[in-house]
Amino acid sequence: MSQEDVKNPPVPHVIGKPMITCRQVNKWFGEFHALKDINMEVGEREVVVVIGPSGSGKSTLIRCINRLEEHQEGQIIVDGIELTNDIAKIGAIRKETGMVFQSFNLFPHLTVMENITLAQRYVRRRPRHEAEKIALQLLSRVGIPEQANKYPGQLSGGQQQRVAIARALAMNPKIMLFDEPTSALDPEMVKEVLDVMKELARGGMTMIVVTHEMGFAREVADRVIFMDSGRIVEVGTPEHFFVDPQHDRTKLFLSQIL
Amino acid sequence: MSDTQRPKTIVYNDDIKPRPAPRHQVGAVAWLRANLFRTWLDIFLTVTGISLVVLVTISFVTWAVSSANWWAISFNFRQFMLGRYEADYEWRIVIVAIVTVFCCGMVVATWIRKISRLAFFTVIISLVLLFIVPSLAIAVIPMPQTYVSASANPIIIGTAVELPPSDIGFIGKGGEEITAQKVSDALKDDKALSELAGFMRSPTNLMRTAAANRLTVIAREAELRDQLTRDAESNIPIFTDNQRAQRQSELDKIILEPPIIETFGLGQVPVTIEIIHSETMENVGEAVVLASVEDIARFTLPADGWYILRLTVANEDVGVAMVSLGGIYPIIRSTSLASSEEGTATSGFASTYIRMTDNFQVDATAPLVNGTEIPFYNIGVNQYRGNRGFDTYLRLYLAPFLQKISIGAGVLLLAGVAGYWFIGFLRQAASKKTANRLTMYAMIHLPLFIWVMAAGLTIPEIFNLTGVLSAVAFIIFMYYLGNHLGRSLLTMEVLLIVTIGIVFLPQAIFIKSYGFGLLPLLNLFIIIPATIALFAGSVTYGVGDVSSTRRNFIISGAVLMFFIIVPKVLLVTQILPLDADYSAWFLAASDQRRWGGLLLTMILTIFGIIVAFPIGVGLAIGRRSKLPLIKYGCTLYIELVRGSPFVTVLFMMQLMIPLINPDFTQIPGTIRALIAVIIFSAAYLAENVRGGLQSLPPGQTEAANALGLAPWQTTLLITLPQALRAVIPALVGQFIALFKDTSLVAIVGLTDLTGFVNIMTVQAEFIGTRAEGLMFITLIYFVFSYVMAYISRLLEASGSGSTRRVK
Repeated sequence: MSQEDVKNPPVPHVIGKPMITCRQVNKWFGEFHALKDINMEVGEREVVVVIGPSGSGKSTLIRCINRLEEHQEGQIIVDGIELTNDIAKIGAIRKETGMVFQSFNLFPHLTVMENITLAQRYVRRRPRHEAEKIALQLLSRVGIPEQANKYPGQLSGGQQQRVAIARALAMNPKIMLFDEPTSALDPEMVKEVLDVMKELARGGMTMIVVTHEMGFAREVADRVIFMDSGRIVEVGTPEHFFVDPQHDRTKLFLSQIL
Repeated sequence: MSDTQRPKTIVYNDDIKPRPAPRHQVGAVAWLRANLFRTWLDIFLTVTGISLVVLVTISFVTWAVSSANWWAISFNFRQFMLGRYEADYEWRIVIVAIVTVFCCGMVVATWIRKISRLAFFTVIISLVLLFIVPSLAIAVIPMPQTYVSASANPIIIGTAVELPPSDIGFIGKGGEEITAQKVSDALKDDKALSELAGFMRSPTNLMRTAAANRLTVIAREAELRDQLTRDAESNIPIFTDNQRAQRQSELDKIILEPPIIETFGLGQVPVTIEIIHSETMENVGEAVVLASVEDIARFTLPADGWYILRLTVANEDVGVAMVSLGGIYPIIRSTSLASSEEGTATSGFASTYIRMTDNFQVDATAPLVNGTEIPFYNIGVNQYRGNRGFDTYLRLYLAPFLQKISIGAGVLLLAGVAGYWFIGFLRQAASKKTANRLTMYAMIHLPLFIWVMAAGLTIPEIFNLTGVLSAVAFIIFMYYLGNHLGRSLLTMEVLLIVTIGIVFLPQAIFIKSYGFGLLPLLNLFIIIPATIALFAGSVTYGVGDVSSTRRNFIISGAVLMFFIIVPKVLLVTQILPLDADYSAWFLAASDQRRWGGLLLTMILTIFGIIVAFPIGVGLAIGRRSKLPLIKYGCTLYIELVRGSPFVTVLFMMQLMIPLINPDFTQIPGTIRALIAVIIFSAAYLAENVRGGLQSLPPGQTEAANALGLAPWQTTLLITLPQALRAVIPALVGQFIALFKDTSLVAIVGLTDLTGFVNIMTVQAEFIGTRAEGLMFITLIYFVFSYVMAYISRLLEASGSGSTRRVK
């Protein structure tokens, strides 16, 4: 076994060709070492759930994938394009990567329809009517077609998050990144968002989901990654991961939240 | 035991009907209790506050209606509005004002919709008052009398010598009746004489004052006698010896003159009254001899114009005839240089004579009698003397003032209402979208329109010419464009503004008329090649395989550029001579040095805001830039300007700029002041905008980045709109501050509203009317500032997608 294999046990169930590859990724915030030697591969149509205690670097990891954060060492390759300081490459990757945030981050000065059509028109260069047609389809898909002309401030949290998902999907991304999409929601609204995400997963979207929803992880994930203090501690299929965790830290974490 | 007996849950099924609230908890009583008299402190504050307000209001209103000389304002009204703006082009400003207010009405209808009923009624009521009060006052309140004296001999009182003039010039309307009658009441005794109230020439006033003085002397004499008698009768002496001697000597010195009416034989002599038409020198009606107080002379004036009132007392008659006149009121001469005459050797002063009591005007000059100008009945000499009642003041001062204002205010308000209704109609007839779009284009065009109308168009300012041409091209282009109207309009606007920037900025710096001569070179080597390149580039690009949107954009750009190149080429190649006067083709240029009053204030404000705003936004974004050069450059500028007073910046523009390059003295002071305003406000606006940018959660930029929007798209589409909306109150506050700060240009000698008040108070007729002037401009400043603040409040509450919009 090589040195690398010891740190990262063999990854089961890689489906199809790799969409995201991280090799020895390191990231510091000032002096703080936020990501330590991350090695990870996500295959096409795979759903990966990242869990871990807060401050463990889960969000930082997925924010590095679309360059919202800059990594200092290592390689991140998304859909065959390596992330560097090249603005064109960053743009190309962001075009293929949709992201959903914990705090929705809808644009409050635009209507739901404008939120969804804006990037389509200015990044994808779609004509307005086409963009609006797509927006309406997506709104029906996330179950709120009647809210198109409202402002985000007039919607509930769950509805806002579904709009945010629709906004990301409108760009026809190959990869969807979810950064704790249900953490800021009231309990009764969590289900409606998770349902949309499940439907998305069934449709074959490549997804990385940072979440604390263990039920979702169990049901949908192809693989679960457990992170702690900036490093990947354990990776496994949900059946193995939840039933038979290997690492002590993982056991402790699972015993605390389940 | 108790656990088993107590039910687990209790359900209340009783249906409780709603009851009315206690009486003292609702309505006006509740409001008073809750807001004014809740605690002892509240009661104290309420009472104190109300008494203060009442006191201040009463003293102010008393001043305004009983002693303020509003003629100073109504006489100088034009100067207050336009300064010395060329009279020939005044119509342009009138149109600008009407169009601007019309556009404001459109804005209110489009973006605000709801006008509070209170605001609406306030406007209506004040307007009704403006119209009704003056006409009512003029109809109901009788005019005060005018008193003149006639005598064959000079009136000598003490050292004062006055010979009542026999001929007095006055202006009158055709059909007006002039009455003359000997003063009966004043002839009774000195008391009646001293209480005379009305307009008086100085000889009459001299006698009136003398009578009043004599009464004072009599009163003092009686007082002294009384004191001394009581002192003598009293057992204990009231005065010390010294005091007694002082009073006694004062009493001894008093020499009581005989009564004034007896001295001058007031009313004893008969007087002949004639009124002579100044052009024909023929008598109006028959001459009338007033022998006794019962005789009344009545004359009806045949036409508008100058008349001469002639009072004749026979040479041998000793005594003074005092006559009260009806229908003759003081006039004032308004002198102005006609713009067409200015600079020519033969130019004269155009004089207009205005009767201040009713704004009646005569343009002909005062008649000459025996080769000299007749002493006319002007305000300086013939002032109102005596006690003035409220009604007299209303009729004399307030009514003419309101009358002067009411026409302008009425027309403007109608224009505003028309704009409001026009948009309301459009929303019904066409669509909301059309209405919004139209308002937006109107507002975008308005500044250009204002500037072109105010300043005129001349050929060295080529951008003006090309601006008009491209506007024409643009209209034609729009006509053929059909369904892509909206987008193309916007595109054209952006292109127009960018082009004006490209074309105008270098010219503004190196413009030929300002003494540089770099313009042709600049045109030849930079602007024309650049424009041609853009033109060629866009045409070649336009025929390629592009979307219809982009093709519209390109073709409109090409058309625009064509119209910018052609005049430029014609001028630079001298096919059209550069220094010829093309003003007849368009609008003659106005001399910006003559701008003043509200016009200057508004120009400084409007263009200050329009130019400073983008600069401020740029500085704000620049200060947040990651590039150190831009960041620290912007920071340096902002801090430097914020660290110096506005007056300093103003003086720098006026005094120090010529040190940099003497040719800059050619730039009119108004423009230099405008530049100072822009420099100054840009820094403050930048800080306001930066505050808005900083208040945005970082998630907004992240979300935009994650969607793949480019940095400039993120700024323009996501951060800036939200940041600006967040700081609307601060921005409007800044605009209001800018509007009021323009008053500081008075310090560098410009006659804006404030500057003109200083000029008004040194006019011979209106010395000491500073309070009236300041009151008037305060009203103007207040109205504009309040409207700005009001609109900003409505904008905050109504605008689309505001973060406050959460239900």
